[in-house]
Amino acid sequence: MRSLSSIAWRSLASRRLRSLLTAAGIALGVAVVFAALATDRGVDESIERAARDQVGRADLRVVAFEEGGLSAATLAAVRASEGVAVASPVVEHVTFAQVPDRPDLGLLVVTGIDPELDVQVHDYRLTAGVFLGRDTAESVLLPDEWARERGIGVGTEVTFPGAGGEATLRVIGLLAASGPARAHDGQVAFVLLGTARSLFALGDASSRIDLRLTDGTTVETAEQALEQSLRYEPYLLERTSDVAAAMRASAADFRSTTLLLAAIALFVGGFLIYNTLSMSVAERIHEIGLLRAAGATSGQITGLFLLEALLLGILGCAAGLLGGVGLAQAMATWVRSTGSVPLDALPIPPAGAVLAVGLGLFVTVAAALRPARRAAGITPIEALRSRSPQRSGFDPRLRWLIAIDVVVAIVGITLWPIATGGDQPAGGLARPYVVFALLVAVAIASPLFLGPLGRIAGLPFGALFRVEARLARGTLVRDRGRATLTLGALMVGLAMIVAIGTLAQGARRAGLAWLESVVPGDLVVRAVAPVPLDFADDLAAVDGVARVTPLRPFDIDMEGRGVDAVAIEPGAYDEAGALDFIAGDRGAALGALERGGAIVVPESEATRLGLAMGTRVRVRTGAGESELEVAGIVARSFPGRAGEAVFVGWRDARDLFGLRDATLFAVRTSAGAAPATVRAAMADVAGLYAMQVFTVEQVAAALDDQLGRIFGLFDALALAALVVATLGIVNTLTMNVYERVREIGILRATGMTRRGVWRMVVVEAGILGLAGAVLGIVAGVAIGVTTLLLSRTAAFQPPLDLPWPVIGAALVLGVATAMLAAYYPARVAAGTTIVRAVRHQ
Amino acid sequence: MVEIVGARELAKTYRLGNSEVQALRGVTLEVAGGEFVAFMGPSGSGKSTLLHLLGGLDRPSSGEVILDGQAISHLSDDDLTRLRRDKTGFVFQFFNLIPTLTVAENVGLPFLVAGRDPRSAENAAEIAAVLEWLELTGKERHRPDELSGGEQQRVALARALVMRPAVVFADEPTGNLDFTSGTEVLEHLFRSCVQREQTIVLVTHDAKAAAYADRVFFVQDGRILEEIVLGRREEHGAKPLIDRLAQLGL
Ligand SMILES: Nc1ncnc2c1ncn2[C@@H]1O[C@H](COP(=O)(O)OP(=O)(O)O)[C@@H](O)[C@H]1O
Ligand SMILES: [Mg+2]
Repeated sequence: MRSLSSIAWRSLASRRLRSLLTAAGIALGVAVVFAALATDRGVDESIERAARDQVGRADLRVVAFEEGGLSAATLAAVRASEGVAVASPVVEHVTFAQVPDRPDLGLLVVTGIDPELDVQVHDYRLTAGVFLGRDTAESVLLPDEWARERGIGVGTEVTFPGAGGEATLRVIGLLAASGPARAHDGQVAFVLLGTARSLFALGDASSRIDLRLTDGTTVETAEQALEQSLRYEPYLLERTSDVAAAMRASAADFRSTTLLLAAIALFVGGFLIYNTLSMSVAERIHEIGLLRAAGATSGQITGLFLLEALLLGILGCAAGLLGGVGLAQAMATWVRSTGSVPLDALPIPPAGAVLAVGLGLFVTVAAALRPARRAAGITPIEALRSRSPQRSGFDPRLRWLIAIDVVVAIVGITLWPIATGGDQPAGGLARPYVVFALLVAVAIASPLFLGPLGRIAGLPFGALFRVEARLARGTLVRDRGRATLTLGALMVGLAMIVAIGTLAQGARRAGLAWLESVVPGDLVVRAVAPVPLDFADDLAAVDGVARVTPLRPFDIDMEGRGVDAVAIEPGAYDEAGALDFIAGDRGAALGALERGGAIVVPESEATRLGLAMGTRVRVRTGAGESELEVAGIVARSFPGRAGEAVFVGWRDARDLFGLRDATLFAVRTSAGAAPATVRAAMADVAGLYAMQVFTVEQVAAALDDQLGRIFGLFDALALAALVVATLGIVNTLTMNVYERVREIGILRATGMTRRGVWRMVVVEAGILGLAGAVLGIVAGVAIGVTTLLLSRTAAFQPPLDLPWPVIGAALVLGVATAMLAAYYPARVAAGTTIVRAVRHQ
Repeated sequence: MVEIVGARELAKTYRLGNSEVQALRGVTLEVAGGEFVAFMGPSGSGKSTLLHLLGGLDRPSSGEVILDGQAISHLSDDDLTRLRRDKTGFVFQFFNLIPTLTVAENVGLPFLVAGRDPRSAENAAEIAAVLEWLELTGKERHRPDELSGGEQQRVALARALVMRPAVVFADEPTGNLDFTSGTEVLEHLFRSCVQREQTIVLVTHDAKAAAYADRVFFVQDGRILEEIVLGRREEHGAKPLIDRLAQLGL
């Protein structure tokens, strides 16, 4: 075995370029897998942390439905309810802080807490000063960062406009950016419950009550008990787990896509190893024969090749792990810049490292198994008689590769959640399987098309370089197995790019269509926390404003289920011609909303909740219960926390749900006024409430940018697979050149110039690239469209047209990378001296 | 006599690490148009090296090669390639054919490489004629691996002849063939010399093959040891050459 390992090592060292390229391919695959795992883990932990920040150790939350809040009677009932260990009442009120010596006002959500109770459900971390206590009625805690930005420290006095005049509170502590201090984007201040209540004249009401349950009480039983005892005013029950689940759902697609792309990079790495070792076996047939003649057993030959693969694998995995740490950092920075996927810290998961290396080594050894077995099957006689490497059929190769890939897919997808430590959303599993199936199907079918594909791909080259194209075309069908493997790797990489392009275009179009359909205006004014409705009048007074529409997302309890809703002014929607009605007449539906007692639901929710035109649904309201009728079904609506929001008219929002404030205002500018100008004019008014004004174009651009960044990341991952494929092309072409030294000699003797030989190899690569690109585009479009169709049921209605620019780019990319990959082998070919070539046997 | 191929004090030294191998040590010779000459000698004597230099496949360490009246040492790689393309044809011992091309395509390769369409009426006729002449009619669409060794060498010869080059160089063309196939190939080489007035330069270690030539150069240790003039094959068999070699103690 010692001697074998030295043979293996020397053989790798003597083919340094090929060994390095192959190891680099494995390294890239492992790096991408590791980076994807680390990012995935980071996203998962960030979601957990964000969820914990929001709800702390509370198991349940009772939230007020109406402005009046939850009464003392409700609080008492909650406390008395079975299974409740801690009930911490909280009041929240949006107001402004006046900071001494500074003209600007800062918007803050003043949160009143009972310090003794609240520390049992939330984690507060002080960076300076002390926490609230019994005798701190005139004190306030502020987030460290918010305070520092405004030059506030412990001891500074901050003034708040209260119901009965201004109140001045002294800052006694600063809070680290964790837990409750991160609520409302960090624009939050904590005071004693009593201070908040008296400051804003809230009586003894609470905005919400956070609950911790006694050990052994399930959330379900506690919910039942609460529903029995709470009958004083309307409320909503929120489960902690729901908050995290909603966040996780929003990141699920991102996670399953990174998973898929990482798996594909490894998949392509498998192609590379398989191809390299097959070539190595073919090339060393004589050497193997000599070893066999010298008494090496077939087991030793298998061992020799597996050892070579293992050495490459270990080298690649080590480099991949190192590269993966860097790649993960880069990926995390990028993901953070998208702003749509939470990722605040990047853990280096040991389980992820183990899985990445494990998969890398597994793919390496598995891909090596067949070439190794094939080498072991060579008899000394066969080896010594054969002059040129034998052709081998492609069927066994493909069958073997498919077996590997299926195993990798199953192992990878199954182990993924364990390695990331989070749970895999159910929807995330179906998609990778479908994509894998499609890729495998195209790979299986591709040898059948090789001949015609080569001829077609040869056409554009043949017009320019007839000789080169004719000679190059032959190579494609000479060893169909090798060509299929090389082509397959390229095809997979390009397919992913085209698929991502198809998805990105679908998402973008859907996003823009959504924006146009749902926002009745050309400006959007957004508040951090709800502001009084009459603020709309202030906005309407700005020059160039034609109409201001307040919008208010809220939750409703519909037939016992939590549903996202949004309060709208139906008249404004009618006037703007917004909303695409799928069922019901727009005028009639909006009229019904205006009158009250009706809702308009988005198609996705209609499907989810089984609603149709005229369906009457029971909702929980301030007065108890009410029935609302479905007056229309629309294509799209605002995104909510769990699904799309149901439209409710302001009359119902006020009368049934007690809403008197809004978080969004849609502004329609009058004819002739440029949205950007009006936006500037609005700045002062909006600044008063620390609101932000955007033009719809800006929102569209931001959306576009966000999608661009996410899909850009996916593209980068797919490009990694393409790079691996390119390494494979370099390997294959170099091998082709070495194998055809004789032929090159004959061509040169017959009168082909060095440049002619160079062109021949480059054209060969070009044909390979073009054929791979064509297959990749077909597969990519199939994958993209299938994925869009699969996700159509959700709040997402993408049009299914083809992303022509991406298809064009894939075509160019495929041909260009392949031809670039040919640079080195072509130089080798052109540099071959004729005499050496014709002497070569 | 018009000199078509010539060598003046030709020497070739191969460097192998620190040591040097003197493959040729000063060869001077002239071959006239329409002549059939053979280089004979033991293995390693420098025959192939000489053929490669004369055919412009390699460059000498010193001395000069004349090909079709041109001294080739001043030619650039591309010019030399063009000269080779237009004036020479080669047949080697093994693997003369491109496996992915058909017989007809292999024979048409010189046209293709010269940027001429092998399927044009004129060139196609030329290809068909040479194939017929070499008794390969009917094999046009075969792939090389579907042919016997003798047939493969005849296809290689057809390719070497198709453009009617000034000189055909053949390096051990029968070295890999059985007696009957080998004889067939030699007969064809000889016929092309006589009937097509083709100049032939043959390298062989086999006296029976060399005996097809008009003149035989006996090569040893990188030098021409002996020039044996036999005259046209019609007038003699292999016996005079074998006798002469025996006489020289070779
Ligand atoms: N590329 C080379 N490097 C080193 N030595 C060489 C090379 N090619 C040929 N030789 C040596 O040159 C001598 C002549 O070789 P060659 O012309 O092939 O002889 P022949 O064809 O008569 O058998 C031999 O000793 C051979 O080993
Ligand atoms: Mg020789």
